Amino acid sequence: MIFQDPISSLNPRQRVRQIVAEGLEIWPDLAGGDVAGRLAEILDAVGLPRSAADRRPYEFSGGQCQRICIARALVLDPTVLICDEPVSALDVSVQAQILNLLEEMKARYALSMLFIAHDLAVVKNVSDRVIVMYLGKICEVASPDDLYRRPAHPYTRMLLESIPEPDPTQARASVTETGEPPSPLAPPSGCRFRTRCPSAVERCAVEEPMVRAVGSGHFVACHFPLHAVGGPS
Amino acid sequence: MRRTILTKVLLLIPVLFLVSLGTFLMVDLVPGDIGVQVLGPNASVDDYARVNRQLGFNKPILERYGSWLSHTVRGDLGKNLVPPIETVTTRLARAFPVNLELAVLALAMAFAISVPLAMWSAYRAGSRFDRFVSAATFGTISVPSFLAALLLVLVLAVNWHIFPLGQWARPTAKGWATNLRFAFLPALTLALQEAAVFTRLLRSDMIATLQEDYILAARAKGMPTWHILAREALRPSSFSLITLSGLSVGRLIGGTIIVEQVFSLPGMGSVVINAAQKNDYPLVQGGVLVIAVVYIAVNLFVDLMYGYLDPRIRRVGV
Amino acid sequence: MSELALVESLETAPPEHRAGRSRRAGLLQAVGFLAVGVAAVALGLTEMTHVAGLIKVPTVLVGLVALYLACDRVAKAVWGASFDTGFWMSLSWLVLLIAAAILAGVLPLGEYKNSAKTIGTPGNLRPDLFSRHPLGTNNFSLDLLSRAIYASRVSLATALFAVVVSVVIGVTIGMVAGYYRGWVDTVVGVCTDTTLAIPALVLLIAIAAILGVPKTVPEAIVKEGGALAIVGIPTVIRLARANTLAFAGREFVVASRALGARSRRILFKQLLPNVMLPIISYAFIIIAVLIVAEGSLAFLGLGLQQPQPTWGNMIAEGTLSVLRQYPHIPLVPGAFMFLTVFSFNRVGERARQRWDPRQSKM
Repeated sequence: MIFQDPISSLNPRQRVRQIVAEGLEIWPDLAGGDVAGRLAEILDAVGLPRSAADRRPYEFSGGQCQRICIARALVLDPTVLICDEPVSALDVSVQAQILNLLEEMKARYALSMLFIAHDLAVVKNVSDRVIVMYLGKICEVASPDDLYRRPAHPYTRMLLESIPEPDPTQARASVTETGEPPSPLAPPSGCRFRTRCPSAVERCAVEEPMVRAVGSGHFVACHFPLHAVGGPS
Repeated sequence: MRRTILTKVLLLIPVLFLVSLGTFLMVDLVPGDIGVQVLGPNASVDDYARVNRQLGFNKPILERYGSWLSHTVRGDLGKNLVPPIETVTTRLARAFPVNLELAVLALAMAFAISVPLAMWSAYRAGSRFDRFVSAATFGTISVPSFLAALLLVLVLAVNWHIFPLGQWARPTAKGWATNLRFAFLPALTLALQEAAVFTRLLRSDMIATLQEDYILAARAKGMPTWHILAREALRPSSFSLITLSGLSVGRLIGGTIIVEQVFSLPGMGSVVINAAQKNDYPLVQGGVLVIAVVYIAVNLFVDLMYGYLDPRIRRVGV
Repeated sequence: MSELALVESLETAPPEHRAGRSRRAGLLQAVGFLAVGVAAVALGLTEMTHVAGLIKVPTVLVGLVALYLACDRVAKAVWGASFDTGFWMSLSWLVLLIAAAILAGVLPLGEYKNSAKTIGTPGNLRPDLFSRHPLGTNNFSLDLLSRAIYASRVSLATALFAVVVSVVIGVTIGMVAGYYRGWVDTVVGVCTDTTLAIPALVLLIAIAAILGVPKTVPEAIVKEGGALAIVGIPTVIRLARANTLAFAGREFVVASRALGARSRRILFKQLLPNVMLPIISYAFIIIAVLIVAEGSLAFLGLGLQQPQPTWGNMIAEGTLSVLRQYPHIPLVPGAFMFLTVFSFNRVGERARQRWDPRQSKM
């Protein structure tokens, strides 16, 4: 796993070498005997100099710390990598570097990544498949192109409409006024989005919508999806 | 709010239970025969038997604890062993007003010293005055109470004969003037220690408060300095101080043993110490128990008061 | 005058000159303070002039302050204005004292315990820096300097023993309580609250009364150290628990667990190094408090008895009549005790600023 705050994800009292090699210490069989070699290899892969191994986390920048976290996560050659908002705390220019690094790692180590994010631009860039969630329930599943061009769930559409348009000459999409999200401790009955949904009716309060296909590889959980089931993909 | 009070009071019960158990078992932990310890090796067999019977050592321990507890809860702490024999409660009741008066005087003096010092230090943070006060308070904290007492006695009593020494005059017996003359030095000793801590705390709190925007707004509106310091800045900075002073009261009532010894004051601490030196166990037990209970009660009171005074807690809790 | 000349004439001296000037001013002040200091201390601590005791004591004080300021100016001139003189002097005192305590047997000190050996020496001598008894003698003609150094052994060893025991036990319990929470945490909480509910000195006296008065130095170290540890453990538990709670929520612990680390590994490798750091910085201040507590016990007569010196019982020699005539008898051990406690506090304050930035209020 890699986390949002790269600096707090690293034990300030340990050196990089101990942090990254921790997985190898816990599972010595997987190391295959050559801990030092593996360590050097992974540091190279994430773009850190060999000298980084003997330094402490406070000597590095945010982006470099995130690289260390990635190295720690990948040292055991996992098949799945969970990324919990890994670039939200980083500078925009650094974000691009880390995202490229993750792409590279995905290819090199044949990883499946579960990438959690709030930034739609990042999501579109990084994903092969996007899952939109609201208050803990899945709303829509689709490929990035499908999702961005033809959103099927009202929440997805609201998210896309909220992206600010930098070009002042372009007409602004009208954003339907929706109010505050309800408390996760007491979610609305039935469909959780109904309190903010412009298309909500009584059925939405009674019956929770199930995830259904609306196209090839495109699923939605809504009683009234924005384009009909079985439409062109 | 009511729930917090209830929880806090309920949590007291195991604490009080353990304290009572501890003080009760203190007697059991003394090595050797109790009678010999109390009366020395040369008393008669009958006297040893009397002591053992009085302390109930001929009964099993649970029964002893039960009867001790039932007596204590009713306010009967037994009698002491070494003559002059009287009830423990009477002894302690005679000593308690001394501690109370000392605590009140010391606290008042501590406030009188620390509040103006802290206010001016915070206002002129970094100045020579501030650095001097910081060094002085740091030094005062490092002086043990008995040394401070000795120094004060040396300067004020021995060489300049300003304040008399060596006893205590009860206001009922000899009037308040004499009483205060005797009380001044011990109260001052206690006050200086507390004042040092208060000053440091209040100063750092006020420095933080003085940096707030509303202080800047007040200055911009032309409020005079003393008004800002006394009215606007003091109140928000005083929460930690109030908590600390509450703890101080507890400390002043329970921890004045050294000062009592140096100035020969008949307070509860002296009673306990003299009893400990003579192995007069019921008195030691009773004394420690009463001091502990008073300390706990005062802390609980301060805890609840703090919850009441801080409007944030009051609003949220209710 | 041309514009260029005007500007040039208004230019202030370049920074190196300014620094040099302030350095020179500092050194000049240092010389002044040194002169005042030496004169005052000489006045106070030698028999050169027959001055009343009351005048001597503040004179020595003023002299010592002046000497401190002299050192401060010199140090700042040599090492720059950010030099923390107080910290370094405190550290030096502690090193000096500990060295003296360890080497007491081989140092050329006067007799400290056996008054039979000092029948020929006059008693109640005032301090005289150039005599055989630089800090004077007490009522039994025992040398005060030597007694103060031997007494420091007791105080330092007891405090050190108590701190080590407190930290080892306290950190273990505190970390377990803070990491596992649940009923363990509640039980530990009730126990610490109980112990903290009784005023420390009262608890100490009660324990000391049960354990009895120690007769030898090693016995004192173990008994008093044990009592002090019992009183100190709840505070360490609270500290350790609070720090454990703070660090256990950090993401590197979650990351470790995600990699498959078990609780024991997390406690030892991840949490312990982080929790120990603020506790060690607190340890200095705890030592200072323990030295005062041990001194209080000794002052009340519950510690080692005479003629074995401890700072507490040496100060207790300062009864009213003694204070009137020979104030140096309690003041010499008092000065030692104050300097030691002050130094531990000072070093601890600085350690805390570096390693525990959350709690730097008092």
